[in-house]
Amino acid sequence: MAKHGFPQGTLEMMIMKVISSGSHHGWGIAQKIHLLSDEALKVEEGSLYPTLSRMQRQGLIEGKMAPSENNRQAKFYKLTPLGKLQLEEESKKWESMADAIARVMSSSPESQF
Amino acid sequence: MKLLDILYRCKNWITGLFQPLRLEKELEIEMQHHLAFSKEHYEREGMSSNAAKKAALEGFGNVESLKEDCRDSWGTRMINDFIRDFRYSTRLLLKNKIFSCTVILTLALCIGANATIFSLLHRIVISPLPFYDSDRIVQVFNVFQGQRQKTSNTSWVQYSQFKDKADHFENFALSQLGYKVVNGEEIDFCRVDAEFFEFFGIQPLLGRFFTEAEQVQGSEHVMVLTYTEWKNHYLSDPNVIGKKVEFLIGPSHTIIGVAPKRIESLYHGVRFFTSLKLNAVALNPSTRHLPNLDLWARLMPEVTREQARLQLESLESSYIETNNPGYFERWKNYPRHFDVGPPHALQSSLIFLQIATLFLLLLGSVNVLNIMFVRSMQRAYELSVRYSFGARRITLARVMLIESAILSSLAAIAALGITFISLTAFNNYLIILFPNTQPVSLTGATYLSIAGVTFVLGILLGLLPLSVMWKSKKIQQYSNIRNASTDKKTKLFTNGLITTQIAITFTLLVGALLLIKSLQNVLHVDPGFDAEQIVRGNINIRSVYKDRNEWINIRKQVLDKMEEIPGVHSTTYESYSMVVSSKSQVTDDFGIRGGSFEDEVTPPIFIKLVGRNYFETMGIRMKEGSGFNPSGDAISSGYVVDENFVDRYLQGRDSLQTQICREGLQGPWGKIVGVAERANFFGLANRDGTPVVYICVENNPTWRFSALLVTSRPLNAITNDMRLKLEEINPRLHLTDIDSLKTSLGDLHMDRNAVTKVTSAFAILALILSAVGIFGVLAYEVKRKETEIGIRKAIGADRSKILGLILRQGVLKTLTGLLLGLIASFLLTEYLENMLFDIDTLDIERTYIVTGILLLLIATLASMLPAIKATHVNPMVSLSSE
Repeated sequence: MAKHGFPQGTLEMMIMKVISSGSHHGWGIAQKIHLLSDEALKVEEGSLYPTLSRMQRQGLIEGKMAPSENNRQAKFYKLTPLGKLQLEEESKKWESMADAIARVMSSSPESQF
Repeated sequence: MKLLDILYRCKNWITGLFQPLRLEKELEIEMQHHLAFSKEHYEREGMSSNAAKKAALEGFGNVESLKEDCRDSWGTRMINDFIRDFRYSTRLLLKNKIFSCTVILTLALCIGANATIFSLLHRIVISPLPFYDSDRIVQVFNVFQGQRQKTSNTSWVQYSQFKDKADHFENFALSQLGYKVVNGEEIDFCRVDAEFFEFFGIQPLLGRFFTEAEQVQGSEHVMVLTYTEWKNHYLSDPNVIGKKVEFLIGPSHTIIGVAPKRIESLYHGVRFFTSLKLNAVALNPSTRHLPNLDLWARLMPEVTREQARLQLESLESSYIETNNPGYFERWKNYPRHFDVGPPHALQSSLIFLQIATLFLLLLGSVNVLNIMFVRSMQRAYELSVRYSFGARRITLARVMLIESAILSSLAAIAALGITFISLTAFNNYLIILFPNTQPVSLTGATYLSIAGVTFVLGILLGLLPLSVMWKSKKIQQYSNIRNASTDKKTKLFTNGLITTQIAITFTLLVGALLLIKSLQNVLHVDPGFDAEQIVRGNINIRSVYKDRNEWINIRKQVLDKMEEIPGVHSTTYESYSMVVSSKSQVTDDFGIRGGSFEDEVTPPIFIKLVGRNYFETMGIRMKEGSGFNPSGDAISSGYVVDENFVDRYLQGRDSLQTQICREGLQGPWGKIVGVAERANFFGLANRDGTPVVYICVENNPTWRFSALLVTSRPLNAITNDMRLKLEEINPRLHLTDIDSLKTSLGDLHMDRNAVTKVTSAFAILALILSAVGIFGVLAYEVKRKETEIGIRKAIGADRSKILGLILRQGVLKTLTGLLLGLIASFLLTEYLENMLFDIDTLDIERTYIVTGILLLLIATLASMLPAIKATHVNPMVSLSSE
């Protein structure tokens, strides 16, 4: 488990998913994850920004300064081509992993023998 | 995927590297933006503005620590830290301009001096010849003892004997320099034997080299171009082979090949090679001791130069024993020796200079180190704050190293400039002193040595002060309390060093001043003739007119034409001057006879063959007699001798009643018809020099002569006119070595000049170093004694007392140094004796006093800065820091 409380790699994957539909600033990303998860997940600022910085360095996302909806300067992130490839790969992995976990978790006690 | 990944990372890393500020700014904006949104969010939920702000900040946690986490993820933290420290150090150095300039200047001078000498040493001694096994290549010289160990080259006869019998040598090669005139321009070339190129392991770039058949007299005339000549004058034409080259005199030559550039390091400026052709004269055993060839030899492996030299000497003496050539009897006082070695006389002086400059570098570095100690103490507080905030030792080392790296790098750049300038200056001398040496330039080895020294100095100057502070726990527990025991040792060492520096500076300054005074004295000597206005040019008549009956007439025509040049007042000539001495001329002793005496005198005597109006034109006064009476031949015209001749051979006799004979006592005898004032043809310092006998050759043919023109026009203005006038007589006649007598006399003092300049440069360097040294030590002293000075001030010492206290220390050190220097100077003046000219005890004493005062003044000035600083010590501050 990473220190932000999400399983390893999942925060990055969620960020990439959120910005795959269009660029967002940090606050927007956190809010969108919160909303999309039906308010079940809350991304802490303390983990969001270092993760964004790291992903930027890895070349998965890139940031650009632009005015936001309240007319303040903000940094907008969008996926890079590398990020898109990474997201596809990660999504596939996640789906098969989730399926596998779901199968394990939904198995009846008898079938364990 | 992988490649794309790497590319993105690199791009971002580089962005982070070069734009740390931009990233910082973006991070700040991003945080503020997030806080603003967060606050708005809480406000929408119904919170008050203040409560919303508080909640937003709480949700965010520690903003600074978040920023640090982000910075960590940039992966450029180390570089950013470095850049920050670099900027900080630069700012600090700019603030302390005196400190920075002193350190940079001292290091630059020391490194520059070393790099200059190292370049010379490397080029001239360590790797003079770029050929395989070049340490086995030597040149063989004849050494004439008794003539100040004068060396000269070798003869063909010696070469052929050595080649047959000297088994300490693997092989030999011969060469001989010459010049030819092509299109009115004199160009240097080199005659070489068939083995020459193979000896140096050189393959032709184009075509071929010479064969043995081409060495035979009467064979085809062929030449090999040097690479530079081929490139510059034939524009690297690949079809140059087979072309013919015409010379003003002599047969045309066919180009057979092009030699690679490497061979040009043997003879600088040579444009082509021709085959060394042997004539009957060269092969005649009697020419054995008329050396005119450069003999190169490769030693057998394991054979030392001394063994090789001894073998040549034993071959030479066995030749003399078996053949006992008659003429050799005359030379019995001048036993022959051989010298085998690299063709340079500078070696030992360069090694000495290198040691001297290394010593200077050491002095300079210690001085700078002293200043760095002061500096580090000023930074001790900052460092201890950094330490208490968790900076590790390596971080502190980085901080110190960055500063010393900036200083030493700047010093290295300045040193490079100094090296370049001094090498350029030295090359002017080198070409005059050793015409065949290539100019020395900055080489890879020099760059490497500068870089190496800079690197080591950078590390030492950064880390040593830190380690001293660390050891004395100045950083761990910041305080002003000094560790007395280590300080005592350091103090003793630095004091000793300063005293030595002052002593060295004093000695060098005395030496330099005396040499400068000597040079001035020499240049103020009356040359005995009007050198200012006389222009000289040599003309070879024989090269155009083979019939000697024409020579007198041609000489007269040339002089008449020269007199037509506007601005030429009068003309005369002298023939190829020669020194009649045992070394260059096979001649009998001079005979002298007067009324009742007859004497044989031993040369050297300098013979000048001159025109009838020589003395009037040259402005040489006649002290006795009327001069030549040119009615008949040279002997009946009479001889004119100079004062040196009279002083040496005719003391107490009536010169005008004396006859002399050039062929011993056999005659024919000629009368002395005049005694001329002394004229210093061989350099102005040569006052007691060679006696001169002037012989009038007005009615005798001379195959070449020097035309002497008295003119008020400058040399370069008149040169072309002289050439044009000569062409009017015969376009094939040409002038060589056009020069003003003043310049050529000046050239005779090049070595004296060079020694004076080198000593002066060293003296100035030493002076700067001493000033820096005194400044550094006293500044350190003031810094160390800050508390003591503070207490003194607190209990009532006034400014002048404090000033006196510090100044006294500087002056005391200087005086001790001066005393030591005085002793060293006595020894130096003895050593310099033969370089000094017209310097008496009064001059020397005066120099001591002037130098002493100068040094004392500079030392006081250097002590002034720290002393003034000491008076500004605030007792409250210095005491409260305890």
